[in-house]
Amino acid sequence: MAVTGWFVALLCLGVVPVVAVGADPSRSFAVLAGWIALSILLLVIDVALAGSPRSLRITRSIADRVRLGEATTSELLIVNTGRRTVRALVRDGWQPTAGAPFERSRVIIPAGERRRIEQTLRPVRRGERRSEHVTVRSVGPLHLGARQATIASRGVLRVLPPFNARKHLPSRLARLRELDGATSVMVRGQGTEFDSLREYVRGDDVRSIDWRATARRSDLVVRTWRPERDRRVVVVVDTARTSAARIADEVRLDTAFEATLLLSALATRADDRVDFLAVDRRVRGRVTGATGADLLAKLVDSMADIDPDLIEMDWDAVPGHVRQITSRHAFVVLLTSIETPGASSGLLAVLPQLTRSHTVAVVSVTDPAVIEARNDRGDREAVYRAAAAERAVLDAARVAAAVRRSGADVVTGSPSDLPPALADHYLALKAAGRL
Amino acid sequence: MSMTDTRAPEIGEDAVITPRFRTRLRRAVFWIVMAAFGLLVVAVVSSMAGAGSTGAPPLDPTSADPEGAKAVAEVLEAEGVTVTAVASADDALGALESAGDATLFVVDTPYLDPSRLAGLAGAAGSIVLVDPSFPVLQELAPDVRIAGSAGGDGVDAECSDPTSERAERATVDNTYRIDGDVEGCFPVDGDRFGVVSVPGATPLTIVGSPAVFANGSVTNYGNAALALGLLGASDELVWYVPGLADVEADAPPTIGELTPGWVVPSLLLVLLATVAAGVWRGRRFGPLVVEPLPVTVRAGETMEGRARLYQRTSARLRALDSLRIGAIERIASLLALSRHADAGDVSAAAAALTGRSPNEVRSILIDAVPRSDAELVGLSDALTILEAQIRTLTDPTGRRAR
Repeated sequence: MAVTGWFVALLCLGVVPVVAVGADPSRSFAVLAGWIALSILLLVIDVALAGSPRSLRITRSIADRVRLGEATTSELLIVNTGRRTVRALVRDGWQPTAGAPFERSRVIIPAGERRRIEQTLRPVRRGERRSEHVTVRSVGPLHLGARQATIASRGVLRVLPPFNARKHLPSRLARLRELDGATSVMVRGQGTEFDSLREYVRGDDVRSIDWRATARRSDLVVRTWRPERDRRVVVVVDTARTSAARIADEVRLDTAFEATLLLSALATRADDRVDFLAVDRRVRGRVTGATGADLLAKLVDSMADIDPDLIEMDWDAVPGHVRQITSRHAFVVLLTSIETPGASSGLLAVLPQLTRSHTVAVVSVTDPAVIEARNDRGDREAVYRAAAAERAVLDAARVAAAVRRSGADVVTGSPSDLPPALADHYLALKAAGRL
Repeated sequence: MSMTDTRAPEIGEDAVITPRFRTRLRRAVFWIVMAAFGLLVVAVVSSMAGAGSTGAPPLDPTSADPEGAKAVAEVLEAEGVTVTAVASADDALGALESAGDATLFVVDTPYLDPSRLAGLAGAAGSIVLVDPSFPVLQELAPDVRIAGSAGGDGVDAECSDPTSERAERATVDNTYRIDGDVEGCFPVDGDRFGVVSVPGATPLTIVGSPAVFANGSVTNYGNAALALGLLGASDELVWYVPGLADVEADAPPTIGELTPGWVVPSLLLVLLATVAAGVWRGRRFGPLVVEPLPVTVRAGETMEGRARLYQRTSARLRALDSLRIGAIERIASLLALSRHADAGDVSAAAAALTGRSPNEVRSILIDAVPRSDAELVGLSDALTILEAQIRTLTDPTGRRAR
């Protein structure tokens, strides 16, 4: 049961007869009482004549997943099984960050008929968005009152990470092809594998001429090489306390996911196997054994509803997790933060265990605002801030130095630079055959 | 990302979350019963508490309230005194004229018009005035002045007035100071009196405490004797409790009389419409939707905090040292010095490259201690300039600007 603005207007209209009957208070009061009684009678009749919202049957249809930043359409099919026409105002109970439009849908459904309502959802946050119910307000023929009912109807929309870093993918794939024997540019390194023999063309490295094969034939023959393949890449994302920090309007965890996606897309094209782990004190997400397009789909699905947890990271368990995935040599990427020696002591303690059998890269987002603050020496406050920023940079540098001493590489960058930086690091390792 | 996945569960009648009116009523039965019971209790209690009160004015001769004065009036009637209760000055004048030489008993209520009292006094044989206000005293007895409350305790008569003397002791509340040949009884602190007799053409007795006549307290001390003695002095008693009829008919019209009859109903209607508008706008469109949001923390909070901490504790040297260490490391890498070079080596190398005096460079990089914030800012600027200079001089492109 609800009243509309028309009912309020109707009540206000009662001023006219009350004033018209003039000066006698008792007659005015009588008219007033009469008007109120008339208004309420009309309201009751109107509500009684409104089609029952309980007789509506609702069916949903919605894409089950959408990438963050894209829009999707949510459909409601409403069947009126009652005997009266329902003039309905419909509210779909999406969670706020599902990005449903604020306007309510108006729809008129004659008895026994069916109507479709479309809504464009623009989610503003990663994760699983739900709508548990649909509320219908059925307005009476006089538009004075309405009957209202909430009908349970579950809709679920999975919002995937945006993977904005995919714009860097084509250039990195081109670099990857350059590493491959398919192009004439040869890369020779200790880790590259012998691929095939072919005729010499101008521009080839003369050092790659295979003299024995040349002796067997009349032409110059060169060996071609291709980068090593079927290597393992294990990406470990730290989802604990420090990943909740927002740097340059992006949460550290989101940057880590972007970097993971770019690296995975690249590595799976390079025929390496990528495994993904999101951990804090427990395993929050795990993708193993997937390749190609399936890998990316599984990754974004697994990442969708991982949010930072305000607990301390359990680094001691990480070597065990990695060992479970592979016992072979692998490229282990730790996406975490290196800030102060104290906060990174857990990481530094387990790094030697990992570097003993794996190639390790510790990847961390740096805050551009800190560098900016360090270089701003405008006034007294700025100088103190610059000192604090310098201290933060020095602390991070000390941790980075300690990480390097443990035998791991350090990759840092601002949120926008980090994904390509990690991809470049991977390519460099691949070219050098260190995977 | 495809539109193929369609969830289409069959929705039954039980899928409606909103309870039916009947269900809601059934659930609310307990509270409705409780509310009804509570209302009943309140009604019973208030009717019992309010049993003794009829809303009559104080000292009304027909009221049996504790504040009424039915007891005194009844006793006087029984003793043969004719009690005529009036509620307006006109009636009082009429009663006095028809009775002739009657006692006038005046209770001071807000409706009493002091200017009418002189006329009444002319017609009355004697006047008993209870708890008069200042304008009334000014009119009838200028020699008597209000002297505040004495607390309502019993006070001894201590005077020669026979009526008061017979009463011996009575409740005294409001008291009066007197001048001239006015006689006072029931003194408090020697010069304030609870009952005052003003002689004249029409003898006037002023009683400060209504409790002397009231049903609830007339039996205390000698109150009854005093009341009956004062009011039963003659066979005729005109008991005047001023009421609404005393409000002057030709007074200027009040705001209530000036407003047209439709104003109040219209206001009532506007009020109702406001309530209806509140219901219209306030009706929630379905249940609230909850959504757990993740925590995000602004990075750089620790840096800001540390900066404010440096500033508040004036840790100038510590702040400057942070800047120096950063600058020395960068200069060392620009000059391609070994990792083991200490600050002194870097300073010497920097001085050699820039051609500045070694002492000056060493002061900037190591020695100088800032004693004020201005010196800190100055040293910070010097550091920046030195670093920029070295950066230019070691520019690998070979440009040596500046």
